[in-house]
Amino acid sequence: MEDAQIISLYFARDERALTETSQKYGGLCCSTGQRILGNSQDTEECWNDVLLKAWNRIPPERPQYFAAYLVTMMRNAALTLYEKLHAEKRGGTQTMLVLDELENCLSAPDDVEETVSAAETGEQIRQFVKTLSEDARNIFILRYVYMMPVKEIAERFHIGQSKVKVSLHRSRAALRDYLGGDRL
Amino acid sequence: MNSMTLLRAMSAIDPQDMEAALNACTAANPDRKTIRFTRRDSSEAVSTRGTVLPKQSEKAGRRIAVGGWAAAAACVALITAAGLYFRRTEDDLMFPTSEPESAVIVSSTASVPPLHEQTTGTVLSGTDITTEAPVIAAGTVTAGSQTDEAPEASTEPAGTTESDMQETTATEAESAPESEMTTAPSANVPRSSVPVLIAMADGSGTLTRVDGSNSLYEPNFYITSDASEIDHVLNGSDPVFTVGTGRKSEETVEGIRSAPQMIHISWQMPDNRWTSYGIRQAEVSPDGTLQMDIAMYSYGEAEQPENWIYHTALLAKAGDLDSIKDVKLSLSYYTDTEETGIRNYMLYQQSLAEDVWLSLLPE
Repeated sequence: MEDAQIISLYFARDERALTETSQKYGGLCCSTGQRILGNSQDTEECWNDVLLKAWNRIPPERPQYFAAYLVTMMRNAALTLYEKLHAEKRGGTQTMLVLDELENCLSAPDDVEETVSAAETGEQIRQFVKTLSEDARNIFILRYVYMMPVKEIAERFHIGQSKVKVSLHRSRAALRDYLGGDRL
Repeated sequence: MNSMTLLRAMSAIDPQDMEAALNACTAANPDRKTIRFTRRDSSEAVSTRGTVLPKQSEKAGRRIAVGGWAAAAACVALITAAGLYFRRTEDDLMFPTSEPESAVIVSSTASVPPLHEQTTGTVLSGTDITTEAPVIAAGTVTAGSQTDEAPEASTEPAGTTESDMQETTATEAESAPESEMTTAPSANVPRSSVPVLIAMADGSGTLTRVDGSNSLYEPNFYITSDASEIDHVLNGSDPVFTVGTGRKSEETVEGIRSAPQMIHISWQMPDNRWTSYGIRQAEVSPDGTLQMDIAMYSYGEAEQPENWIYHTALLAKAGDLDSIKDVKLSLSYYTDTEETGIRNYMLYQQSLAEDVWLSLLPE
């Protein structure tokens, strides 16, 4: 079923919208959640929350990019649950690795926090991503939005893992500069 | 702002860009679309097993073509191997006649010599490996050790001894000086070699962070023929393993897969997360100790050393690992700049493409 048809079901308050959403995007969202949480039960819980949120938000919202809309809600829900469950750092998921990688993108914490709000950072990242080449942008998004392992990205694009790593490293360095990390 | 906030802020990326990335991903590999959009369950995990090994084999083959210098090193190794081939007595080695590809055996160390030519630095003990300067250090880890001490440092750069070159095979041979035949303690004892598949955890993001409460440098190992445990490795479960098939024939690979036996080895180290590592040699001594030489590469991204668990595994035909009673690891560390670190990572990939044979004493 096309996205527009699914969204129409939401607007009609037809509960088949949830079934169709799960059928079409449940795998995508749950794989993203699984990479963050590393636990299928927690992932399922997040996915149910996402479906509820989608049900409550549509209408009035009418997402133009339904998959991205759902994935964004899913990763936010998963990250929230991850923080709740992992007050103590543990491994086994992609989240810790991604966090480690992003640590180098940050400037001195207090300085940034004083001057840039989280919302502004989001907008900066949104603009920053558009400055990347198409390949670098795709790799960056797959890694840090979809939390896809480097190995999997390399396999899907038929390139070496080293190339993916180099691309990510350059993007992170560029992001650090973009966010004002040149003071480091 | 912390990295979690930054990660959350990624959600602000334009949905159009997010979907474009997703579409590019599926367009680049349309046959995998069903995997991406389908939830994984246990039955699906089992079904993917059959695709793991051939896929890795193809990838390994491509990497050989990429690394020109690595190929040159391999040629040197082959020439040396050929030299040994014609200088070996028949009693020195016994090889299974059922393995037609055993005419040439080169260990994963074939790619090591260029590394040493390009890497400079001082020799440090295992506790000093967090320096960002180019470093070569070697240490030894023994199973059953109750000490938390760092591996013993060696003044001899790892990989430069004759032990780097694993044996070649022969159907006919001449006599050779003992020191050139083998590095095993009992050079005159007839030995046999069996092919093994190497399975190593992917250093790009699958190593397990630990709390450091356990003893460090104490390798644990177990040998199993349990299909589910072996599936766990072959299917890339946590930690995700990469399986290298080397240049073994499909028949050999299939033979190992149909009746596999696995030795799984893990050890802890406090360091800055070695991004990759590769098995350079594996040999069983007369007392049943499996001696493995492992090279570990890093370009030291992390500044604060933390404890990590590393995993590796050898898979052979059932029964081939029965003589192993203990495990001893020799670790060589290479901390480089990012540029050389990436090259070393390719070395690691290359090592997966090489054959690793396990030298055994006959029962």
